[in-house]
Amino acid sequence: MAARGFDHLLPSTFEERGATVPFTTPILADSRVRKDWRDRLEIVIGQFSGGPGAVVIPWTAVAEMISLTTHDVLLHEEVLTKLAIDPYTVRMAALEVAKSGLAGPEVVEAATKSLAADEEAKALNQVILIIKVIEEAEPTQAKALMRDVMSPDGQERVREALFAIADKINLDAKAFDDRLSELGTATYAVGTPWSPTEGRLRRLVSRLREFSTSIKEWASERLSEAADQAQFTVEMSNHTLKIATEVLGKFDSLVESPRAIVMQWDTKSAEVRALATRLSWLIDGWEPLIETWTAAVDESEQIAALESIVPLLPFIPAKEVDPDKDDKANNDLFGKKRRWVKMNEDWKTGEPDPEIVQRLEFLKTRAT
Amino acid sequence: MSLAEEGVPESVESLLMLGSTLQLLPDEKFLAVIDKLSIVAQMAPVAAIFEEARPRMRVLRPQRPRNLQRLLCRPFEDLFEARSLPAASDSLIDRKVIAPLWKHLETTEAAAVRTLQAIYKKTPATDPQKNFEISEQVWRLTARVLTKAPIPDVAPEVSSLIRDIMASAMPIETFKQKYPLRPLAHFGDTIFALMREQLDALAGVTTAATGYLVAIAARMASPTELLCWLREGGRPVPPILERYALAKLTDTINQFDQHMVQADPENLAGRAQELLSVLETADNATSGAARATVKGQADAVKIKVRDALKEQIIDVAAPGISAALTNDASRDSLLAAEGYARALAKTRRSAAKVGLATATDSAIQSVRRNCIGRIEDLLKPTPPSDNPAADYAKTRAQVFQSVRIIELVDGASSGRDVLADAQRRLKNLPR
Repeated sequence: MAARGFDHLLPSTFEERGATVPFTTPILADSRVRKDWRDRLEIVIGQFSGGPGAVVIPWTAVAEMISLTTHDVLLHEEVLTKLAIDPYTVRMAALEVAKSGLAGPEVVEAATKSLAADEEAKALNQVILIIKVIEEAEPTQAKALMRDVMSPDGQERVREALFAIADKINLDAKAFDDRLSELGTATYAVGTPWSPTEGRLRRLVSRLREFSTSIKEWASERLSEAADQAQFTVEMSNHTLKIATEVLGKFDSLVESPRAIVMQWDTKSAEVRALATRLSWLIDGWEPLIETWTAAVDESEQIAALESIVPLLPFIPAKEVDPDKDDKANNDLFGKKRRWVKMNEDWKTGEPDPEIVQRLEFLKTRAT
Repeated sequence: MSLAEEGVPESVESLLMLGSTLQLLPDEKFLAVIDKLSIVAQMAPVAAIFEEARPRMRVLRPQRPRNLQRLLCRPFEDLFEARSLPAASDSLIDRKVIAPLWKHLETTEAAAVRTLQAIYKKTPATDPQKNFEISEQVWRLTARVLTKAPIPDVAPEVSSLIRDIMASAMPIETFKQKYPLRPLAHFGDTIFALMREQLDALAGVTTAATGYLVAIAARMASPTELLCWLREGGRPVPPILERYALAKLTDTINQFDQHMVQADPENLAGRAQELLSVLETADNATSGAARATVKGQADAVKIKVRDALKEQIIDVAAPGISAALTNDASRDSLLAAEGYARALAKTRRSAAKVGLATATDSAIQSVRRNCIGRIEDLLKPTPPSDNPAADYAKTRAQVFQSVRIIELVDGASSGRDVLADAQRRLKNLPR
């Protein structure tokens, strides 16, 4: 049965929903980039009309139709140049533009830190997977190697250890090093459960859980429209968390045995990558909402935060949920979401509202 | 009578010995002590400690204790914070009134209070609907009690105000549920439509409308807006509401005075903008002698605002930004430049109200010219270097710093024009 008549507006796949682009122009705050049927980029703007459904326009027309901030002029160009249409490439494009300084020095600082953290996480994830292989033959040595795994020297020793024991455990050390390094790079954003530092996406899932719990507690003792909005936010986040937890569970059980992945490289590595990609799509768009809630200190700020969070809640596309278990819940949530919309442009001038731009820039300083 | 004799646990009595040293405790211990003391929060020595602790409690946000007194106060709790407002003693409610009010209820309606307390104890905090129903009964009971007899040892006008608020508690809480944000900056048509409906429904309930209006006014950033609306709609303005609104206006002015000295430029510009917009509504909201008073206050404050904006923003922003945008500008210098740019942009929105429109525009154009001049200098041809890529990156970053300042001070479209030109010329640089 149709969910309040809006289910036809729900996109089928993540690719069709598009990837969130962290623009600072308020009207584009929940916009997404995707490819059209002719493989050209287009933008999906959720808050453009204020009614149900979204407005879709060719990517190249954005700068002519909307008064963009200078930061967004560059981001718009960068997305087009890099053909960034998934959460990973959009994030990379956004971090590159953030470093330009057009959103302020604090955003530059945050982006530089994020990029450095990414490089560290890649290196760490590669050796973490190698240690798991070593553990099968030399558990004591693996434990010792783990202690020093955060330092470049320690990471070098892990590789040396792999080559040293290769014959003993009957494997081609070079192939293992190459493939696990490749896998480590492709999946560093999720990381492994036994890593000393959580992968970015894994951390975001944990933070989404905390966000949901915090809002649930907040809503449980209140009666107001804000409490309804909070309750809806909890439903949306729990719906995402349910699927994200399943994906993470599958990912973790596969990476539990890196050796098996290397042995059946074509099938299993593709499976692991697909799960990491799926998690990145699931969590796409949640981080700024979590930061908005976290930054709200008193009740008034929390109410205002909820008002800005609800229209931006990322819904899950129809074909990305289990049709037997989650289909109805998904359609219902999508229908409810259309109740809360508002415009964010200074009606007098058509210019981006500077206060809202400042808030969006603040969120960029908190993005990981 | 000692606290122990009054049934206060010994642990609480010993905590009271902490006195002013409470502020010295680390956050966790501070919250633990507040939690213990909250059971006797209304008792004189504890109330004094709470007064002192309140600013820190606002930051740390301890879990609020659940009790019927808290439910009782909900419809008028917004009036607590306004306690320090000048010349509005009869429209303000001091927290100290809670203890005698509660005692009055317990004395006159002992059985009903006991019953409500028993029901409340059994109701979990996570059942807001049930809690609301209990609150409704408490408010009805209080309104009934106060109609028969005012609170002993409390100023009669305060007792009357609480009675009126209790009589209109349901519409007040319905309003708060629908519009929970506080302070509400501007009331639009939807909010006024709800108020019209609620006031019409209260028309037959003696002075309940007065209580309703004062409680709602306490949620507004500018209660004078409410006076305007009442006058325009031909509705009577209760004198107590007018006194409250004017006191709030005086307080806003005083706050600006205090703020002016220590505010950073951006904050100052924001406050000035708010204040000038409040003064606009205040002029239309008042009548007779009050109008003359407001006019006098408004004229004086406009001169202060004008001087502050001129001296602390308009005259200093352009040189301040130029000084901050050096070739090796630190993060803090850039933030200072951004602060000036934002302040100037905010000042532009209110400058006309204090006769500073031309001066502000001229300062903005000066910043714009300086930034464009800097970009010109940065993009001048330079001798070939050993590291063109690094030089290019540095030049680009510095050009973008100036573009950003133009955007902040003069708007996005102005920034985009300069960016487009700069990008075109940056392409010609070696990298």
